[in-house]
Amino acid sequence: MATNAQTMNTAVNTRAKMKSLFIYKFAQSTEYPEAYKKGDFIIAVVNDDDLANSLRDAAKAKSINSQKVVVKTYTSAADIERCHVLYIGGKTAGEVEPFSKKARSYNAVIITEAPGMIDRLAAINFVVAGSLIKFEMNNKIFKEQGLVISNTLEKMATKVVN
Amino acid sequence: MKRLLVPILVLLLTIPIGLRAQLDPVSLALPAYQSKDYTKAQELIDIAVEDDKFNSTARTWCFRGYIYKDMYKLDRKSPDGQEQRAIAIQSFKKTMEIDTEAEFKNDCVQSLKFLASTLFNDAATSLDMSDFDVAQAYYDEYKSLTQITNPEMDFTGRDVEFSLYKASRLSILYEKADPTTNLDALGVQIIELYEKVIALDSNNVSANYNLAIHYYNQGVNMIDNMDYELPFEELFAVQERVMELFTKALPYMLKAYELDPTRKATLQGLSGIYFGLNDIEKSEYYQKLLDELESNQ
Repeated sequence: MATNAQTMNTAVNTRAKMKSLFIYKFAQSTEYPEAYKKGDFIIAVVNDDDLANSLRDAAKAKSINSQKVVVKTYTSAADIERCHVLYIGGKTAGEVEPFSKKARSYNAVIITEAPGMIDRLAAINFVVAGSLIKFEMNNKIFKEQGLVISNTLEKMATKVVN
Repeated sequence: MKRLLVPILVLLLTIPIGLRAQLDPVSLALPAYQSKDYTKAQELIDIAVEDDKFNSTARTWCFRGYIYKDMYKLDRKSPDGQEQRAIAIQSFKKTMEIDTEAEFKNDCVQSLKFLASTLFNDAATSLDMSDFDVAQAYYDEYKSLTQITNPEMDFTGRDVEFSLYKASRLSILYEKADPTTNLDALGVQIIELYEKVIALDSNNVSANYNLAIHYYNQGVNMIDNMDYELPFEELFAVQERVMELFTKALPYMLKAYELDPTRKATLQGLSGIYFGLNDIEKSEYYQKLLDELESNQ
Protein backbone atom coordinates (compact mmCIF):
# COMPACT_ATOMS: atom_id res chain seq x y z
CA MET A 1 0.00 0.00 0.00
CA ALA A 2 1.69 3.16 -1.19
CA THR A 3 0.73 6.06 1.04
CA ASN A 4 -0.07 9.34 -0.67
CA ALA A 5 1.60 12.43 0.71
CA GLN A 6 -1.11 14.95 1.47
CA THR A 7 -1.03 18.01 -0.70
CA MET A 8 -0.42 21.26 1.06
CA ASN A 9 -2.88 23.99 0.23
CA THR A 10 -0.64 26.69 -1.20
CA ALA A 11 -3.39 28.45 -3.12
CA VAL A 12 -4.34 30.73 -0.26
CA ASN A 13 -2.10 33.38 1.24
CA THR A 14 -3.52 33.22 4.75
CA ARG A 15 -2.07 36.52 5.91
CA ALA A 16 -3.33 38.33 2.82
CA LYS A 17 -6.82 36.87 3.29
CA MET A 18 -6.92 37.83 6.97
CA LYS A 19 -5.73 41.36 6.23
CA SER A 20 -8.25 41.76 3.43
CA LEU A 21 -11.03 40.69 5.82
CA PHE A 22 -9.86 43.29 8.29
CA ILE A 23 -9.61 45.99 5.64
CA TYR A 24 -13.21 45.32 4.63
CA LYS A 25 -14.24 45.63 8.27
CA PHE A 26 -12.31 48.89 8.66
CA ALA A 27 -13.95 50.29 5.55
CA GLN A 28 -17.40 49.18 6.67
CA SER A 29 -16.81 50.80 10.05
CA THR A 30 -15.81 54.16 8.61
CA GLU A 31 -18.10 57.07 7.84
CA TYR A 32 -16.75 58.94 4.80
CA PRO A 33 -17.53 62.49 3.68
CA GLU A 34 -20.51 62.73 1.30
CA ALA A 35 -18.30 63.10 -1.76
CA TYR A 36 -16.78 59.73 -1.05
CA LYS A 37 -20.13 57.96 -0.82
CA LYS A 38 -20.63 58.06 -4.59
CA GLY A 39 -18.90 56.12 -7.32
CA ASP A 40 -16.48 53.28 -6.82
CA PHE A 41 -14.96 52.44 -3.48
CA ILE A 42 -11.23 52.57 -4.18
CA ILE A 43 -8.77 50.47 -2.21
CA ALA A 44 -5.17 51.30 -3.08
CA VAL A 45 -2.44 48.83 -2.26
CA VAL A 46 1.29 49.44 -2.16
CA ASN A 47 3.88 46.69 -1.99
CA ASP A 48 1.63 43.67 -1.36
CA ASP A 49 0.37 41.95 -4.50
CA ASP A 50 -1.12 38.99 -2.62
CA LEU A 51 -3.23 41.36 -0.54
CA ALA A 52 -4.34 43.20 -3.67
CA ASN A 53 -5.35 39.91 -5.28
CA SER A 54 -7.23 38.80 -2.20
CA LEU A 55 -9.08 42.12 -2.12
CA ARG A 56 -9.88 41.78 -5.82
CA ASP A 57 -11.34 38.32 -5.22
CA ALA A 58 -13.53 39.75 -2.50
CA ALA A 59 -14.51 42.70 -4.67
CA LYS A 60 -16.06 40.34 -7.23
CA ALA A 61 -18.82 39.51 -4.76
CA LYS A 62 -18.79 42.15 -2.06
CA SER A 63 -19.42 45.84 -2.17
CA ILE A 64 -18.56 48.28 0.61
CA ASN A 65 -21.23 50.69 1.80
CA SER A 66 -23.17 49.77 -1.40
CA GLN A 67 -20.29 50.98 -3.56
CA LYS A 68 -18.53 48.78 -6.07
CA VAL A 69 -15.02 47.98 -4.87
CA VAL A 70 -12.08 48.67 -7.16
CA VAL A 71 -8.59 47.64 -6.12
CA LYS A 72 -5.60 49.55 -7.48
CA THR A 73 -1.92 48.91 -6.93
CA TYR A 74 0.82 51.52 -6.89
CA THR A 75 4.58 51.53 -6.84
CA SER A 76 5.10 55.28 -6.80
CA ALA A 77 3.67 57.72 -4.25
CA ALA A 78 3.28 60.35 -6.94
CA ASP A 79 0.82 58.13 -8.78
CA ILE A 80 -1.55 57.71 -5.84
CA GLU A 81 -5.01 59.01 -6.72
CA ARG A 82 -8.08 59.64 -4.66
CA CYS A 83 -8.92 56.52 -2.70
CA HIS A 84 -10.95 55.37 0.29
CA VAL A 85 -8.33 53.08 1.75
CA LEU A 86 -4.57 53.01 1.24
CA TYR A 87 -2.63 50.01 2.44
CA ILE A 88 1.14 50.57 2.48
CA GLY A 89 3.35 47.51 2.81
CA GLY A 90 6.80 48.42 4.07
CA LYS A 91 9.02 47.90 7.06
CA THR A 92 10.47 51.37 7.54
CA ALA A 93 9.19 54.90 7.83
CA GLY A 94 11.29 55.76 4.79
CA GLU A 95 9.34 53.30 2.68
CA VAL A 96 5.94 54.25 4.06
CA GLU A 97 6.11 57.99 4.52
CA PRO A 98 5.94 59.20 0.89
CA PHE A 99 2.77 57.18 0.27
CA SER A 100 1.27 58.18 3.60
CA LYS A 101 1.93 61.86 2.93
CA LYS A 102 0.31 61.66 -0.48
CA ALA A 103 -2.76 59.96 0.94
CA ARG A 104 -3.15 62.74 3.49
CA SER A 105 -4.53 64.85 0.67
CA TYR A 106 -7.51 62.47 0.39
CA ASN A 107 -10.06 61.26 2.91
CA ALA A 108 -8.44 57.86 3.01
CA VAL A 109 -7.92 55.33 5.78
CA ILE A 110 -4.15 54.85 5.79
CA ILE A 111 -3.16 51.36 6.84
CA THR A 112 0.36 50.08 7.47
CA GLU A 113 2.05 47.07 8.94
CA ALA A 114 5.29 47.97 10.67
CA PRO A 115 6.38 48.95 14.18
CA GLY A 116 6.07 52.62 15.06
CA MET A 117 3.87 53.62 12.10
CA ILE A 118 0.79 54.19 14.23
CA ASP A 119 2.34 57.16 15.99
CA ARG A 120 2.41 59.46 12.97
CA LEU A 121 1.98 57.76 9.60
CA ALA A 122 -1.08 55.52 9.78
CA ALA A 123 -4.65 55.54 11.02
CA ILE A 124 -4.45 51.78 11.42
CA ASN A 125 -1.40 49.58 11.80
CA PHE A 126 -1.47 45.78 11.69
CA VAL A 127 0.44 44.06 14.46
CA VAL A 128 0.99 40.42 15.38
CA ALA A 129 0.07 39.57 18.95
CA GLY A 130 0.48 35.97 20.03
CA SER A 131 0.32 34.73 16.42
CA LEU A 132 -2.87 36.68 15.79
CA ILE A 133 -3.17 39.56 13.39
CA LYS A 134 -4.53 42.49 15.35
CA PHE A 135 -4.39 46.22 14.86
CA GLU A 136 -3.67 49.50 16.55
CA MET A 137 -5.32 52.77 15.60
CA ASN A 138 -4.68 56.48 15.63
CA ASN A 139 -7.82 58.52 16.28
CA LYS A 140 -6.00 61.75 15.59
CA ILE A 141 -5.17 60.71 12.04
CA PHE A 142 -8.73 59.51 11.47
CA LYS A 143 -9.98 62.95 12.47
CA GLU A 144 -7.38 64.74 10.37
CA GLN A 145 -8.51 62.62 7.42
CA GLY A 146 -12.10 63.74 7.96
CA LEU A 147 -13.24 60.23 8.81
CA VAL A 148 -15.58 59.09 11.56
CA ILE A 149 -14.90 55.65 12.93
CA SER A 150 -17.28 53.35 14.81
CA ASN A 151 -16.71 52.65 18.49
CA THR A 152 -16.39 48.96 17.77
CA LEU A 153 -13.10 49.49 16.02
CA GLU A 154 -11.62 51.26 19.00
CA LYS A 155 -12.71 48.47 21.32
CA MET A 156 -10.98 45.89 19.16
CA ALA A 157 -7.70 47.78 18.79
CA THR A 158 -4.68 46.68 20.83
CA LYS A 159 -3.54 50.29 21.13
CA VAL A 160 -5.30 53.59 20.50
CA VAL A 161 -3.40 56.81 19.86
CA ASN A 162 -5.42 59.94 20.50
CA MET B 1 -2.14 -27.21 -8.96
CA LYS B 2 0.01 -30.37 -9.05
CA ARG B 3 1.38 -29.39 -5.70
CA LEU B 4 -2.11 -29.15 -4.33
CA LEU B 5 -3.23 -32.43 -5.74
CA VAL B 6 -0.65 -34.38 -3.79
CA PRO B 7 -2.18 -33.72 -0.38
CA ILE B 8 -5.63 -34.30 -1.82
CA LEU B 9 -4.62 -37.69 -3.14
CA VAL B 10 -2.97 -38.51 0.16
CA LEU B 11 -6.12 -37.36 1.82
CA LEU B 12 -8.29 -39.64 -0.30
CA LEU B 13 -5.99 -42.60 0.07
CA THR B 14 -6.48 -42.42 3.80
CA ILE B 15 -10.19 -43.13 3.31
CA PRO B 16 -10.86 -46.75 4.18
CA ILE B 17 -11.31 -48.97 1.13
CA GLY B 18 -14.73 -50.05 2.35
CA LEU B 19 -15.96 -46.52 2.36
CA ARG B 20 -14.54 -45.75 -1.03
CA ALA B 21 -16.27 -48.84 -2.37
CA GLN B 22 -19.57 -47.34 -1.37
CA LEU B 23 -18.78 -44.41 -3.70
CA ASP B 24 -19.15 -41.89 -0.97
CA PRO B 25 -19.50 -38.22 -1.94
CA VAL B 26 -15.93 -37.42 -0.86
CA SER B 27 -14.53 -40.14 -3.14
CA LEU B 28 -16.77 -39.05 -5.96
CA ALA B 29 -15.71 -35.45 -5.54
CA LEU B 30 -12.06 -36.30 -6.19
CA PRO B 31 -12.28 -37.13 -9.92
CA ALA B 32 -14.52 -34.10 -10.40
CA TYR B 33 -11.94 -31.93 -8.66
CA GLN B 34 -9.10 -33.49 -10.66
CA SER B 35 -10.91 -32.77 -13.91
CA LYS B 36 -11.58 -29.22 -12.70
CA ASP B 37 -15.32 -29.80 -12.60
CA TYR B 38 -15.49 -27.69 -9.47
CA THR B 39 -19.24 -27.31 -9.55
CA LYS B 40 -19.72 -31.07 -9.30
CA ALA B 41 -16.92 -31.39 -6.73
CA GLN B 42 -18.56 -28.64 -4.69
CA GLU B 43 -21.99 -30.31 -4.78
CA LEU B 44 -20.53 -33.61 -3.63
CA ILE B 45 -18.37 -32.15 -0.88
CA ASP B 46 -21.30 -30.12 0.41
CA ILE B 47 -23.33 -33.31 0.62
CA ALA B 48 -20.44 -34.90 2.53
CA VAL B 49 -20.28 -32.15 5.14
CA GLU B 50 -23.98 -32.56 5.81
CA ASP B 51 -23.50 -36.28 6.37
CA ASP B 52 -22.48 -37.36 9.86
CA LYS B 53 -20.50 -40.24 8.34
CA PHE B 54 -18.06 -37.76 6.79
CA ASN B 55 -18.33 -34.43 8.53
CA SER B 56 -16.44 -35.50 11.59
CA THR B 57 -13.28 -36.21 9.64
CA ALA B 58 -10.68 -33.54 9.04
CA ARG B 59 -9.97 -34.79 5.54
CA THR B 60 -13.51 -34.00 4.38
CA TRP B 61 -13.21 -30.41 5.57
CA CYS B 62 -9.72 -30.01 4.22
CA PHE B 63 -10.81 -31.28 0.79
CA ARG B 64 -13.73 -28.89 0.90
CA GLY B 65 -11.31 -26.09 1.65
CA TYR B 66 -9.25 -26.94 -1.42
CA ILE B 67 -12.29 -27.16 -3.69
CA TYR B 68 -13.64 -23.80 -2.56
CA LYS B 69 -10.21 -22.19 -2.61
CA ASP B 70 -9.69 -23.22 -6.24
CA MET B 71 -13.16 -22.02 -7.15
CA TYR B 72 -12.34 -18.70 -5.55
CA LYS B 73 -9.09 -18.45 -7.51
CA LEU B 74 -11.06 -18.75 -10.75
CA ASP B 75 -13.34 -15.86 -9.95
CA ARG B 76 -11.84 -13.72 -7.23
CA LYS B 77 -13.69 -10.50 -7.82
CA SER B 78 -17.27 -11.72 -8.04
CA PRO B 79 -19.59 -11.98 -5.04
CA ASP B 80 -19.56 -15.77 -5.60
CA GLY B 81 -15.78 -15.73 -5.41
CA GLN B 82 -15.90 -13.83 -2.13
CA GLU B 83 -18.34 -16.34 -0.70
CA GLN B 84 -16.21 -19.23 -1.92
CA ARG B 85 -13.19 -17.77 -0.16
CA ALA B 86 -15.22 -17.43 3.02
CA ILE B 87 -16.28 -21.08 2.79
CA ALA B 88 -12.71 -22.16 2.05
CA ILE B 89 -11.49 -20.29 5.13
CA GLN B 90 -14.23 -21.73 7.26
CA SER B 91 -13.44 -25.24 5.98
CA PHE B 92 -9.71 -24.98 6.68
CA LYS B 93 -10.44 -23.59 10.12
CA LYS B 94 -12.81 -26.48 10.80
CA THR B 95 -10.16 -28.90 9.60
CA MET B 96 -7.61 -27.53 12.06
CA GLU B 97 -10.21 -27.64 14.80
CA ILE B 98 -10.97 -31.35 14.43
CA ASP B 99 -7.59 -32.51 13.10
CA THR B 100 -6.32 -33.67 16.47
CA GLU B 101 -3.38 -35.50 14.87
CA ALA B 102 -2.34 -32.33 13.00
CA GLU B 103 -2.31 -34.47 9.84
CA PHE B 104 -3.50 -31.59 7.64
CA LYS B 105 -2.13 -28.71 9.66
CA ASN B 106 0.60 -27.74 7.22
CA ASP B 107 -1.76 -27.82 4.23
CA CYS B 108 -4.31 -25.73 6.10
CA VAL B 109 -1.72 -23.20 7.27
CA GLN B 110 -0.35 -22.75 3.77
CA SER B 111 -3.82 -22.37 2.29
CA LEU B 112 -4.94 -19.98 5.02
CA LYS B 113 -1.78 -17.93 4.53
CA PHE B 114 -2.60 -17.60 0.86
CA LEU B 115 -6.20 -16.67 1.61
CA ALA B 116 -5.07 -14.17 4.26
CA SER B 117 -2.81 -12.51 1.69
CA THR B 118 -5.78 -12.15 -0.66
CA LEU B 119 -7.75 -10.50 2.15
CA PHE B 120 -4.95 -8.00 2.72
CA ASN B 121 -4.82 -7.24 -0.99
CA ASP B 122 -8.59 -6.82 -1.06
CA ALA B 123 -8.34 -4.43 1.88
CA ALA B 124 -5.92 -2.31 -0.16
CA THR B 125 -8.12 -2.47 -3.26
CA SER B 126 -11.16 -1.46 -1.23
CA LEU B 127 -9.28 1.55 0.11
CA ASP B 128 -8.42 2.50 -3.46
CA MET B 129 -12.14 2.38 -4.20
CA SER B 130 -12.96 4.36 -1.04
CA ASP B 131 -14.92 1.41 0.42
CA PHE B 132 -13.55 2.09 3.86
CA ASP B 133 -15.84 -0.13 5.92
CA VAL B 134 -15.29 -3.04 3.54
CA ALA B 135 -11.54 -2.44 3.67
CA GLN B 136 -11.57 -2.45 7.45
CA ALA B 137 -13.57 -5.69 7.47
CA TYR B 138 -11.07 -7.35 5.10
CA TYR B 139 -8.15 -6.11 7.14
CA ASP B 140 -9.66 -7.34 10.41
CA GLU B 141 -10.29 -10.73 8.83
CA TYR B 142 -6.74 -10.82 7.47
CA LYS B 143 -5.43 -10.24 10.98
CA SER B 144 -7.73 -12.77 12.55
CA LEU B 145 -6.68 -15.41 10.00
CA THR B 146 -2.99 -14.60 10.29
CA GLN B 147 -3.21 -14.99 14.04
CA ILE B 148 -4.22 -18.61 13.37
CA THR B 149 -1.44 -19.35 10.89
CA ASN B 150 1.20 -17.36 12.75
CA PRO B 151 0.30 -16.75 16.40
CA GLU B 152 3.61 -14.96 16.97
CA MET B 153 3.00 -12.45 14.17
CA ASP B 154 3.69 -8.82 15.11
CA PHE B 155 1.10 -6.72 13.29
CA THR B 156 2.68 -3.35 14.04
CA GLY B 157 4.09 -2.91 10.55
CA ARG B 158 0.86 -4.00 8.89
CA ASP B 159 -1.25 -1.80 11.18
CA VAL B 160 0.96 1.16 10.32
CA GLU B 161 0.75 0.41 6.62
CA PHE B 162 -3.01 -0.07 6.62
CA SER B 163 -3.88 2.88 8.88
CA LEU B 164 -1.56 5.21 7.01
CA TYR B 165 -2.98 4.26 3.66
CA LYS B 166 -6.54 4.47 4.94
CA ALA B 167 -5.88 7.92 6.41
CA SER B 168 -4.31 9.15 3.19
CA ARG B 169 -7.27 7.88 1.16
CA LEU B 170 -9.72 9.51 3.57
CA SER B 171 -7.71 12.71 3.31
CA ILE B 172 -8.20 12.77 -0.43
CA LEU B 173 -11.97 12.60 0.10
CA TYR B 174 -11.69 15.30 2.72
CA GLU B 175 -9.78 17.63 0.44
CA LYS B 176 -12.09 17.06 -2.50
CA ALA B 177 -15.32 17.42 -0.53
CA ASP B 178 -17.68 20.31 -0.99
CA PRO B 179 -16.53 22.85 1.63
CA THR B 180 -20.11 23.46 2.68
CA THR B 181 -20.42 19.84 3.83
CA ASN B 182 -19.88 19.07 7.48
CA LEU B 183 -16.59 17.20 7.48
CA ASP B 184 -16.00 17.15 11.23
CA ALA B 185 -16.47 13.40 11.65
CA LEU B 186 -14.25 12.63 8.68
CA GLY B 187 -11.60 15.02 9.96
CA VAL B 188 -11.62 13.37 13.39
CA GLN B 189 -11.30 9.94 11.78
CA ILE B 190 -8.27 11.06 9.76
CA ILE B 191 -6.57 12.56 12.81
CA GLU B 192 -7.21 9.43 14.88
CA LEU B 193 -5.69 7.24 12.18
CA TYR B 194 -2.53 9.34 11.86
CA GLU B 195 -2.24 9.52 15.64
CA LYS B 196 -2.59 5.75 15.80
CA VAL B 197 0.26 5.36 13.30
CA ILE B 198 2.44 7.81 15.23
CA ALA B 199 1.68 5.94 18.47
CA LEU B 200 2.87 2.74 16.80
CA ASP B 201 5.79 4.33 14.98
CA SER B 202 6.68 7.80 16.20
CA ASN B 203 9.39 8.08 13.54
CA ASN B 204 7.03 7.61 10.65
CA VAL B 205 7.77 10.57 8.38
CA SER B 206 4.63 10.20 6.26
CA ALA B 207 2.27 10.12 9.25
CA ASN B 208 3.92 13.13 10.87
CA TYR B 209 3.96 15.09 7.62
CA ASN B 210 0.43 14.15 6.60
CA LEU B 211 -1.05 14.93 10.00
CA ALA B 212 0.67 18.32 9.98
CA ILE B 213 -0.68 19.04 6.50
CA HIS B 214 -4.14 17.91 7.55
CA TYR B 215 -4.20 20.40 10.44
CA TYR B 216 -2.63 23.11 8.29
CA ASN B 217 -5.07 22.67 5.40
CA GLN B 218 -7.99 22.71 7.83
CA GLY B 219 -6.80 26.11 9.02
CA VAL B 220 -6.24 27.40 5.50
CA ASN B 221 -9.69 26.21 4.40
CA MET B 222 -11.23 27.91 7.42
CA ILE B 223 -9.61 31.22 6.50
CA ASP B 224 -10.44 30.76 2.84
CA ASN B 225 -14.12 30.27 3.67
CA MET B 226 -14.36 33.25 6.01
CA ASP B 227 -17.07 35.60 4.92
CA TYR B 228 -16.50 39.31 4.53
CA GLU B 229 -19.73 39.99 6.41
CA LEU B 230 -18.46 38.36 9.60
CA PRO B 231 -18.72 40.64 12.61
CA PHE B 232 -15.44 41.82 14.10
CA GLU B 233 -15.72 39.58 17.16
CA GLU B 234 -16.21 36.53 14.96
CA LEU B 235 -13.24 37.53 12.83
CA PHE B 236 -11.01 37.27 15.88
CA ALA B 237 -12.66 34.08 17.09
CA VAL B 238 -12.17 32.29 13.77
CA GLN B 239 -8.62 33.55 13.56
CA GLU B 240 -7.94 32.04 16.98
CA ARG B 241 -9.34 28.68 15.86
CA VAL B 242 -7.15 28.82 12.76
CA MET B 243 -4.06 29.55 14.85
CA GLU B 244 -4.90 26.57 17.07
CA LEU B 245 -4.87 24.37 13.97
CA PHE B 246 -1.56 25.79 12.74
CA THR B 247 -0.14 25.36 16.23
CA LYS B 248 -1.25 21.73 16.23
CA ALA B 249 0.37 21.20 12.83
CA LEU B 250 3.75 22.57 13.85
CA PRO B 251 5.18 19.80 16.11
CA TYR B 252 4.32 17.11 13.56
CA MET B 253 5.98 19.05 10.74
CA LEU B 254 9.02 19.72 12.92
CA LYS B 255 9.21 16.00 13.67
CA ALA B 256 8.99 15.19 9.95
CA TYR B 257 11.80 17.69 9.40
CA GLU B 258 13.90 16.14 12.16
CA LEU B 259 13.45 12.72 10.54
CA ASP B 260 14.25 13.94 7.04
CA PRO B 261 15.73 17.45 6.86
CA THR B 262 16.19 17.34 3.10
CA ARG B 263 12.60 16.63 2.17
CA LYS B 264 11.40 19.60 0.13
CA ALA B 265 7.75 19.18 1.01
CA THR B 266 8.57 19.37 4.71
CA LEU B 267 10.57 22.56 4.29
CA GLN B 268 7.71 24.05 2.31
CA GLY B 269 5.34 22.87 5.03
CA LEU B 270 7.34 24.50 7.82
CA SER B 271 7.62 27.73 5.88
CA GLY B 272 3.86 27.68 5.30
CA ILE B 273 2.95 26.89 8.89
CA TYR B 274 5.19 29.60 10.32
CA PHE B 275 3.80 32.03 7.75
CA GLY B 276 0.29 31.10 8.88
CA LEU B 277 1.39 31.67 12.47
CA ASN B 278 2.62 35.10 11.40
CA ASP B 279 6.18 34.23 12.31
CA ILE B 280 7.71 35.61 9.15
CA GLU B 281 11.31 35.27 10.29
CA LYS B 282 11.03 31.51 10.74
CA SER B 283 8.93 31.17 7.62
CA GLU B 284 11.66 32.86 5.61
CA TYR B 285 14.32 30.71 7.29
CA TYR B 286 12.74 27.47 6.07
CA GLN B 287 11.97 28.98 2.68
CA LYS B 288 15.67 29.84 2.41
CA LEU B 289 16.62 26.25 3.25
CA LEU B 290 14.22 25.06 0.57
CA ASP B 291 15.64 27.48 -1.99
CA GLU B 292 19.17 26.35 -1.16
CA LEU B 293 18.18 22.72 -1.46
CA GLU B 294 16.59 23.33 -4.84
CA SER B 295 19.52 25.35 -6.14
CA ASN B 296 21.93 22.57 -5.16
CA GLN B 297 20.06 19.99 -7.22
